[in-house]
Amino acid sequence: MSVFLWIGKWLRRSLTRQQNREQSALSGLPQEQHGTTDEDKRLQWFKHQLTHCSDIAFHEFAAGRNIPCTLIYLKGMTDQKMIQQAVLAPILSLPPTVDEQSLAAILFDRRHLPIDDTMITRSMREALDGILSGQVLLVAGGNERMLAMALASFEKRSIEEAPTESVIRGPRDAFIENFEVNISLIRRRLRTESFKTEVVKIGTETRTPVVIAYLQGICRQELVDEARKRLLSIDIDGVLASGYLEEFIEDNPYSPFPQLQYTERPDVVTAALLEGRVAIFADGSPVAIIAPATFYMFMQAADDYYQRYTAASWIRWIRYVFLFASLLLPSLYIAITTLHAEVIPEKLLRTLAAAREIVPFPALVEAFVMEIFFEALREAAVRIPKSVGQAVSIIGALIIGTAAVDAGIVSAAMVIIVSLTGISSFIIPHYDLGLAFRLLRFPMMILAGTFGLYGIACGMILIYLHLIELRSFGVPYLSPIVPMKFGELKDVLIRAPWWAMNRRPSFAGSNRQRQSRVARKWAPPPEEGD
Amino acid sequence: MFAQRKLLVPMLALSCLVLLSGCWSAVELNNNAFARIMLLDKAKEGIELTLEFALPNRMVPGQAGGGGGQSGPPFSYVTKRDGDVAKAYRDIQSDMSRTVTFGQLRVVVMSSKLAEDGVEAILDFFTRESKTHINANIYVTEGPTAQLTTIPVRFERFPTDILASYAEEQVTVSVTFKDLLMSNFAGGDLLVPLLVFGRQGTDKENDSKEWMGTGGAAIFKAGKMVGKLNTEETRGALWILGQVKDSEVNVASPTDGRTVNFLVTHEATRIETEFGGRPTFHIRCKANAEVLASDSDIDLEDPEQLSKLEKKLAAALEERMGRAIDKTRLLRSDAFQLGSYVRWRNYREWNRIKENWREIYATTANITEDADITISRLGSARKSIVRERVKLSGGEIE
Repeated sequence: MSVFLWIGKWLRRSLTRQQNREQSALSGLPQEQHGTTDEDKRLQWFKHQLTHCSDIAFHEFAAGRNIPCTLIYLKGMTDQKMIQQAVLAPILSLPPTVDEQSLAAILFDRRHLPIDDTMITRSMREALDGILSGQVLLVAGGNERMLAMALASFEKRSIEEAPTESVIRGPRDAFIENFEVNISLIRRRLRTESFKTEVVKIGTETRTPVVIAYLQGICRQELVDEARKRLLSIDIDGVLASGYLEEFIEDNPYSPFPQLQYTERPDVVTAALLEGRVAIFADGSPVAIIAPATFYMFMQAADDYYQRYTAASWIRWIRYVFLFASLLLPSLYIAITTLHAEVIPEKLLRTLAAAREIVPFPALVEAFVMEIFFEALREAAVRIPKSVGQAVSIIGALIIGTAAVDAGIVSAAMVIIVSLTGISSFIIPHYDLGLAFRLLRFPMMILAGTFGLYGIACGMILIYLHLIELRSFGVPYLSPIVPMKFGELKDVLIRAPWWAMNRRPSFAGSNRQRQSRVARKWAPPPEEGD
Repeated sequence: MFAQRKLLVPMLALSCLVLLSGCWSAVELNNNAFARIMLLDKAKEGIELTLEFALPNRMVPGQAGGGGGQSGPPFSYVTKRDGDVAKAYRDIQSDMSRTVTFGQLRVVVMSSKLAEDGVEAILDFFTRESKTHINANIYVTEGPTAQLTTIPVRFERFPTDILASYAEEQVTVSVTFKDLLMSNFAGGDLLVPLLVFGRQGTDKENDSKEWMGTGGAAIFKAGKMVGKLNTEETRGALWILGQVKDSEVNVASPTDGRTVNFLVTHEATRIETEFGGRPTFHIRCKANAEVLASDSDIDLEDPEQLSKLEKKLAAALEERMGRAIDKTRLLRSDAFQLGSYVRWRNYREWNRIKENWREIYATTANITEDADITISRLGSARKSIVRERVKLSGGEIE
């Protein structure tokens, strides 16, 4: 028990340390210093804040009747050509008779600058944040107003095909790292004013824009409020990818199961929004999070909805079969061969026994070693540079293959089991769920090696209990099967044809009708008794 | 902090399980010796138990890493004599490097000598050994069971396969351990297939060992073997039990008395009961027949002739079944377990007569056999080819 006490103490210490940590590296300096009329003081403050920032530019010039003006911007993040053409050129071409008052009128009242997006600010803090996110700030004379111009321009990746969620018949485009482009990809599909996007900034240092997107009227307002509440409570120094957020806002942080869906496909996000779910984008991440998510959503692939429903349903069954295989195959093998040999048909047992005859390890150790080899191979395949990837696959085939069998280290049956398990874990469409089952496979193997089929049954019951208790944004994880909702089973074990899926899932709220009940209006109504 | 402990405790507990692994009943596949045939014979003192084991070390595929150059059959027999089955089994186990497992026991063979003494001792052992399959087949040999260890195994790799396929192919009565248990509950009357050993059929390889075959069935009465059915009677018994796939029947043609050869394929056997007065049983068989060969002049396309033939076929089958029934009645053994039908269908009646049921079965019960046969396939030859040839050459047959 002393181990637990020690761990507990250590945890408590580290928690209190965290609370004492400063809220922001910038705190201590004036948080909300309002603009003063003294231009020099303001510039001094900006310069003080931005010392040792090599990418900042202070461009000081005089306009009109020798009025001192300053442009402050980040060099790599702004469109310098636009600064010259749309800011400097018009101001510098003002006649020298223009005095400070009329310059202020031109700039701040009439905004006579050929820029589409300008904003007047008096807050120094706000101005500084604007500069840091790529705006160009104009301080003119002694006027307390400052003009922030959105001239941000930086390199971004072009839209490419989704690398991890490929489809055969569906659209190919995928999100990129810029959240505005990502939103535009959705907007292109949802030409409606009810598509809403709210921006919150998360990260004391990164100040990352995080967008909550939803369809007003279809998505339940409580869900949006809940998502906003959870996001705003996040207190972290930086958000580099949406994966950061996921761990902060999921319901059960200790569960191995993913409780939020992620995708890099705009069509998947759009479909989720139409179901009444909420999508969350983080700037800098090409992956959107969708909430709520249930277990069965992780078994749906984007292609299911683009292919014919008969084929899609069949493929879905295959997935469910291999879902169990990926969790249970090695454990079943261990349990049956070591504890329940009598359930194997005699002729099969002969073959298995002959194959195991020269293997020096117990079945549990054999399975563990092979599974861990396989995990290592898989990890290596992800991490390795592409140029040497070939070597890994060759060596991998040797480890998990005939060489190992010929050497008498493992049995041929175990090789088949391990490779089948490996394949089945790749069949699960969502990588996160596959990871959860990959992880749970190992405790299941221990249970199987110790208690046999009884152990497997106990393990399955424990997993099942956990899944039943699990919730994602208040939606039961196993719904619509637990609790059973017959009307929503159209997209669980089968993929119903589109004309039959006329209602949204119940978490969507009251507006659940997707299409009219008779979707194929042109077709003659089915005859009585048909 | 609570949550952390909630995670840690199960994890530590789980890691302890790794050390436990293999402590209980877990036995690795290559530490098991799977007994698949059990031979039981009567010894001078008690019992002689022989177990057949597969030798996986002689079956290693490709021989890679295995002790190459090993030869000999991939199975072996171990014999011990002791007071009873359990003791003999412990004797075998004490000499073995592997754990004897009955989980794959498929065949139990008793010698007729032991069977005549009764099967209770064996039943007791098996009902307590939970790993044995209740669908293990049971056979009785004439003479010592040790003969079985010397039979040539040509078509299959293991003698187990031969014995198991007898049951699968329905060449003889198939009795499993479950049937034995059930009959024991109902009084212990049962038919068990007999195995015979002889030179007939021995193949032409040099070591002309004794060939094994099926030959009739042993009749059990109250758990003891009291007699046997010969091969013909066993065929009849198979029809009554509904365990037959097909059988060959020859009948004399109604036109000229020459043989017509049929393959009769079994469809269904139903046993109907009537109570009131003496118990009456109708054994109704439905079957399809196809013509295998015809020596006769009979026109098989004539429906009248055909129905005559069908009647003759039915009579032949009924006669077969009747002989089997008569034999068991003679021995006063309800080997076909007609008593169960009474018990299932009229329990009150059964309670009344169960005391002297065997007597009733043997004497007063009215048992009729009724076969319903349809000749459905005549083959493409319309007339007997042999007869036509003879006619053409102008000679006489025979």
